[in-house]
Amino acid sequence: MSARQLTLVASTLTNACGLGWAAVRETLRNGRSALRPFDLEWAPPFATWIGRAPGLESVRIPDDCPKLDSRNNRLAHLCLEQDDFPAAVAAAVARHGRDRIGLFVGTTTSGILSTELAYRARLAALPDAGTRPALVRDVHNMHATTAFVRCRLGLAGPVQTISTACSSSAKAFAAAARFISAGLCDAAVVGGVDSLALSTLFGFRALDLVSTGPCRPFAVDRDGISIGEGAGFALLEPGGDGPVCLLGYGESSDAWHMSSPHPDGAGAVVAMRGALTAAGVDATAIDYVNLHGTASRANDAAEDRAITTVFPATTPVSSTKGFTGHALGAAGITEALITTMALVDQWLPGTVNCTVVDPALRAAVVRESRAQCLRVAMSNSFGFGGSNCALVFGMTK
Amino acid sequence: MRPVAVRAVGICAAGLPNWASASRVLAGAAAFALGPPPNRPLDGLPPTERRRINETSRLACLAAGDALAQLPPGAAAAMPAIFTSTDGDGIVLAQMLNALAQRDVVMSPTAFHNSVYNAPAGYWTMAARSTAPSTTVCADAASFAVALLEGYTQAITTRGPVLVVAVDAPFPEAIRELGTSTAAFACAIVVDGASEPNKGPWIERWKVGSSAERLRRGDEIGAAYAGNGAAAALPLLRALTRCDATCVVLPYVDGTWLELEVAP
Repeated sequence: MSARQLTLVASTLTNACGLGWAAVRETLRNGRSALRPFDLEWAPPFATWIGRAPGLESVRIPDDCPKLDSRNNRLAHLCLEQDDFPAAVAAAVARHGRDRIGLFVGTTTSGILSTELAYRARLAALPDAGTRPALVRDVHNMHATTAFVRCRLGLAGPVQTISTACSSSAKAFAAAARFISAGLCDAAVVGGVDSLALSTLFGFRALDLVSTGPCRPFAVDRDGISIGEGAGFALLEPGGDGPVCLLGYGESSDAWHMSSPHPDGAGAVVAMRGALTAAGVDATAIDYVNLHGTASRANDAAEDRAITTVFPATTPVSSTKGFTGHALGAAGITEALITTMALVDQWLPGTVNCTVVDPALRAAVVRESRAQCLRVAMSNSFGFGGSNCALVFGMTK
Repeated sequence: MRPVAVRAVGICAAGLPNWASASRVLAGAAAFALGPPPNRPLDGLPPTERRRINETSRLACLAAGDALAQLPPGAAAAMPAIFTSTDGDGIVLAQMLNALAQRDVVMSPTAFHNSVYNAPAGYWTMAARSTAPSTTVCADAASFAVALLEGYTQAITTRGPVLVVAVDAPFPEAIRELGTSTAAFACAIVVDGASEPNKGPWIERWKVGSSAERLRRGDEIGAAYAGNGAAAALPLLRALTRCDATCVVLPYVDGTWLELEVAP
């Protein structure tokens, strides 16, 4: 579906690389992985590395929104405090009205960590220990963080939480483009927020998908993902003022398996080709692809097959998950925004932690970051349940 | 906003096993009795997936299958699908929380992959062999209206049919605070944005409002599914059984309503 000239008027992102654009940009430009050995005080020990956002423990949720303290809402709050993003939204509210700005937020676990810790405390407590730790529906519900963000930004337009596993916040762009095209809103805030939780850490371990060290996307010795956390938001406005715009999106389903990708990346191929068609560009026009690139053996192999099916063998590709970790429901917005940064900076991010590219993979993997002329770039996001989304961004004409 | 046609409706709820019987009950032509959730076989899934499927995915797929059975064979494989749930799957959540609360955490891989909010969409696309886009959206008590609006935008942008499916089911006692359904309810509706008029009901005059409109006060059937977010669809399903134009009001977010006009 075409999303012609849907301009990114403002954006912000926060993850293990830092709080806000300046910190994230510095970490990326310095080629530093932000992953660290597992050090979560509230979790059982786990031999892995994680992408942990700094300072969440000391964040205080403001009182002007309903009291909804959770790691996820703290992350959303911290992210919204960076880059003057609320001021840009307020200016859009002044232009269009608060009921004409949509809000589309991806997440996979919302406030589930609060539930997990309360439930653990319950089972650990002695029967006569007094108060039962509460399970709070308004914190746990999948929509909790979106409701918090809507309140923080003072928006009153159409809203939806998107939860399609690791494609969630990429699909937020697609939904926003449709709502604007259908006339249901004039502009939209899209984003994603996903924070570290026990269920994702131990769930991915149960599937044998977690690396014991820092993740090494597309590397010969890759052995799984590094789970991260992150948040990001973008304000999209047709014909708005900004250097980069969303040119198109493509979506598909694998119809293959709940937690394994189609081995040939068939669904990924459909999503990428759909995005190219929507953007009105040929595969040869894509100057860079930011891969989903999780560093799991099977995911990278399937994506490699999909990439080499769609693109010429020379199209530069890289995965930035070695910098940030895999932010799951926030991976789409994180990597979409890193892709827009690549366009703005005319700079191609490398695949940090990938020392030797797997010789069985044929895509033109960029290991070391470099300056490069970029006009059009793609960002891929693929998730459990076979949910695929590809986004195409370009310089505003 | 443009009208969209309703091509098919499906249901799989405790006491309302399929649309053929539910439409008679909702039209007042047959009596309502709450029973156990339907246990009919689920077509299309390979045996391993049929063994692994969780309860909300099963109910959602059965409701979707009920709707698609009213359309020409093969329609499902190319049809975009939108799923929603207000609270997700409580049985899987309780299983996961229990595993995470043990001294040595051993999680079931199946429980984890069934815990993703888009598990119903994942199973449905496998059952329908559909590589068309699917999404899973929600917004607390507004979840059904939010999914229907997503279905509307997809139907008019693709100018074709899309499947909208809603499901919620009771939570286990240990985590009852997190999901308030008293009875299982899943429904599916196929809306079509094709421009040429066709036989059958239409939804038109979409409007989000905050004025004096009120939800229709609960009747006996609505009361049976109290606390079930997916059952917010009932006023729309009932309107689709009527032979006169009906205004339907669905809960949207923060005290607003989504108002629809349903024409026979």
